[in-house]
Amino acid sequence: MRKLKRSTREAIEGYLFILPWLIGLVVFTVGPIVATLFISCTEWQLFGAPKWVGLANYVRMFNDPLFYQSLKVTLYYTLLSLPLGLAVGLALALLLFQNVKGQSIFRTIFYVPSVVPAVASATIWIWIYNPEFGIFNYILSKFGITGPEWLYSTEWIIPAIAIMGIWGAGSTMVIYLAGLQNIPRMYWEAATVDGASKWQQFWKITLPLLSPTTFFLFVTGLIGSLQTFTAGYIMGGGGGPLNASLFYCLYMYQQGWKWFNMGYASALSWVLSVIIFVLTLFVVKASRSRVQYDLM
Amino acid sequence: MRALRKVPQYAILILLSIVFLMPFLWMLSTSLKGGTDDIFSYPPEFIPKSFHWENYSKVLSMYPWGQFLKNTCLITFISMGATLLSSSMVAFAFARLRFPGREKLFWLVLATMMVPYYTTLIPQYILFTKLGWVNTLKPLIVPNFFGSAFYIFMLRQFFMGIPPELDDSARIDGASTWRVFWTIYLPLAKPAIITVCILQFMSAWSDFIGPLIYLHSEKNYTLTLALNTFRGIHYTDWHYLMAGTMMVSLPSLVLFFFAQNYIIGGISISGMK
Amino acid sequence: MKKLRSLAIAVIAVFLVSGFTMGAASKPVVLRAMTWDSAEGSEWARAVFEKFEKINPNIKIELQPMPDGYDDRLLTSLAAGTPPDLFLVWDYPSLASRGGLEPLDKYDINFSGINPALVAWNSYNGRIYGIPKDWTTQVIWYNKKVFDRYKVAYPQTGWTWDDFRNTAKTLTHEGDKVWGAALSFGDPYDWQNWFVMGGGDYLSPDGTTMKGYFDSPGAIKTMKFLTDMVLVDKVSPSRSILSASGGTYAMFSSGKLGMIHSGMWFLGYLSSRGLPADDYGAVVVPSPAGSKPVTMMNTSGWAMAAACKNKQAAVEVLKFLAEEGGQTQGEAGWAFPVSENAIKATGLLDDPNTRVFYESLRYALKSPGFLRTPEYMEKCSQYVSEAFDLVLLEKATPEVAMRQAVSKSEKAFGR
Repeated sequence: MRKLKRSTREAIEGYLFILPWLIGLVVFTVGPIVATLFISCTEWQLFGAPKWVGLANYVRMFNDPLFYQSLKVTLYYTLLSLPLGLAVGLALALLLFQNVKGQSIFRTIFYVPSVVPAVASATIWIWIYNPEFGIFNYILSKFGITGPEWLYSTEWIIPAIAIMGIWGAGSTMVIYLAGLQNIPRMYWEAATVDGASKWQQFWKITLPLLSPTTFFLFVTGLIGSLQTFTAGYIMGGGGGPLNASLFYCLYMYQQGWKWFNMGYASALSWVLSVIIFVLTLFVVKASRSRVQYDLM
Repeated sequence: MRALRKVPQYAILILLSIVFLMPFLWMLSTSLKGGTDDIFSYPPEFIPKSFHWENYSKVLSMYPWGQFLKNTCLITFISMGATLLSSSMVAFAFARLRFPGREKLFWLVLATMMVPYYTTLIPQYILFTKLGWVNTLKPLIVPNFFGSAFYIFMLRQFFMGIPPELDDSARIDGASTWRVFWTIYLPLAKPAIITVCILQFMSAWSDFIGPLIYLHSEKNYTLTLALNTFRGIHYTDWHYLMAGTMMVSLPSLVLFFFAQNYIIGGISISGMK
Repeated sequence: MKKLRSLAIAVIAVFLVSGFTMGAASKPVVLRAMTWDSAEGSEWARAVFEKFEKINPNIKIELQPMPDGYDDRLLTSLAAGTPPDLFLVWDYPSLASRGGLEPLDKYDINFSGINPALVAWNSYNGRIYGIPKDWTTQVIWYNKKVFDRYKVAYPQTGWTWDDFRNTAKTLTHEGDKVWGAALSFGDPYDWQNWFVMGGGDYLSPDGTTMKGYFDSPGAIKTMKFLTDMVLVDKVSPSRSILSASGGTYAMFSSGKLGMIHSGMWFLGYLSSRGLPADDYGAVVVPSPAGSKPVTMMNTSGWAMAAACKNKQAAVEVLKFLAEEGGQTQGEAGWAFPVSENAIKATGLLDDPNTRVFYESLRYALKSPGFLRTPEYMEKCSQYVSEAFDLVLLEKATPEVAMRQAVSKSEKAFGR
């Protein structure tokens, strides 16, 4: 057999290795996605034939106050919950990475909320946030502050839901733990020998070497929180007080599944995808210089 | 002196533990309450007036849980293995192999995560209807054989953190690319691999929408799907629902408890030299 | 060897073929029926279908209860053309106007035993789309213990809105954490009858506009009356207290509420918790002085998809259901059967409380909002909700909020 050039062979191998994903893409993903693009240019009420309307749905969107409202709600939520989730996940991972007695148990405890179904968590949070009897306002009242209406207030419902997101920190914590584990211990050992403080080690070694993990969590977190649905569905129940918690995907769901405007819902979905793509592109370009896979 | 320094750390941990355990404790206590108990009192009563252990046996007798367990296990374990293998293969290629269009294709991987689930739901459902897979477990298992964007991305990050010198030395010894992947990269990324297992287990075990749409006959139901039939429109039998939920959530916790040691206790890179 | 192999193949083939044909000959038709009741709540459905299967052994019915996500599952399967054969519907216009449901009046189904009002609520645009499965009207339930505690006389049929308001006020004792009535206005559906009583409505009878109806003086008067009871008289616990206490029924049955506006489901709640029903009374809703009451009704029915593949068999089941008239379910005590005979047979008329539901039937709203137009949810109901929210959050007066709702609705209709 003629020996192929190294680069050609590698190219072929590359394609062979990604073949599973390519096949899946073609068979399961591309079709439905292209279908939704087509549907977005139609008026389709779920039954009967779709009716071609061109870009009418997109035009309608730019005049739709609820489109802007839901976008605002979703962006506000992402702004609050993304950094918070990362910080808490990292903090927990760091707390539990060092040798603490019973660390296995603690780690499992912090992972518990991720396993608890949304119903149970929501119930507890509704109690915590209760303006009259909840813990938050109770503690605030001890400091002489009258707590807000939280879930019943148009101003506080999004911060409330964002704080609730802390409990999802379990999976972030796990991924950070794995990331920490990947860092060669000799770096820290050498630094301790050189006399570096724990704080310095964190900034100069841990955080930079965690940057691939942080990058991953940030990008997937961004993509994920812009598509938040369940939190809004359970807590706000249909958009919250005056649509203050009308997440974009909730609005999309409402349009398509409650009011049968499938074409419009698909158009909304595409606009969201484009927004997510643009934001992700921005984040990736900005991180180029900051993500390092090696300390050298 | 050493032990004293640990005290604030422990204090924080214990305080946080209480916060994080609250929903679980509420679930547990609700599952043991009687039907007439005040489930939602303010402040919540974490200790039931009397312990109704029979709630658990009542729930177990309501449904063929063994069948549901079988279905759920099939879906979960097969999808776990399938996605692990396929995603790591693809991730390895994106991390280490040079092929034309790699950047653009990786962006395509990311892009597939940017389409909201509910949008493609109906076209995908129609696709599976045409394949005749509706009311079978297939739509929930088969797609996992083709990689998942989230895990591909995650594993790629981990693979990129492995020193390239390692595969150079292996290749000098005559190892094929597959060998390098299988014998070097996979073992070194053990923390990440275990993480994928845990996350995928959790996701498949507690998946609701997928089973809701695709599994119609009771004999095909999964545990989570069956659990949701306890919710009524005007009111819910919370004690039964929570008893059932406790039982269904336990495997995820047990798995995590044992698997986490493999994340932390995995092979560290410095040992490879 | 070859001969043996071909013999084996032949034998297997014969088995397979005969298996198929045998199966085809004796295989019963299997229908899928979907309900939105919980597992326990679907017991009555199982009982009815078992009765049917005894008479028709060729047809088997597989029951699929799915309370959470019912709509998602139904809509997806309808969109893909593989719906369940039978399923429950209450919002007929949404599905019927889009060709999703099969009209039932063209089949030989006997509707004569069923109350015409119920048939009307299971129809759309003049065609019948569902076999009514049950119904309940909404009445005022009152907690006798709470009334006794504060020495208030029980309400009587024919009482007025002012009586209602005064009763609620007298029952409210914030120190004891007791409120007169639960008025949270979460779902506009439950309150439409009040607006009609007040001289207004949510929208026009033909369902084309809210203008002239939701902003009429009668409607504004009603909104003011209802919301004043919450904001001025403070007779109702806030939404947050209601939810923190486990909901209206939980608060009502633990003596924290004097009155609630609800249907027969409350009895189901009581029985599932083993609580006695004697502590409670039911009375027809109050009306403005000098007018007749109007009651809200809830009913739903069994429908068949237009894309159903087993229409003949499904029709047989529907015929049976129409004749059976919901008696099995009525016997469980959760809701009223739909045929007069079944109602009499269950003895629900003997109980003074359940009798009230039957009496309220004659005051039932002729045509509820959601049946007037398939766009009711999107172009009317959400704005009614918003108006309630605005007023209750004290961000607008009833007049302003309702005018705003109407103008938003007009815009949604394209005017």
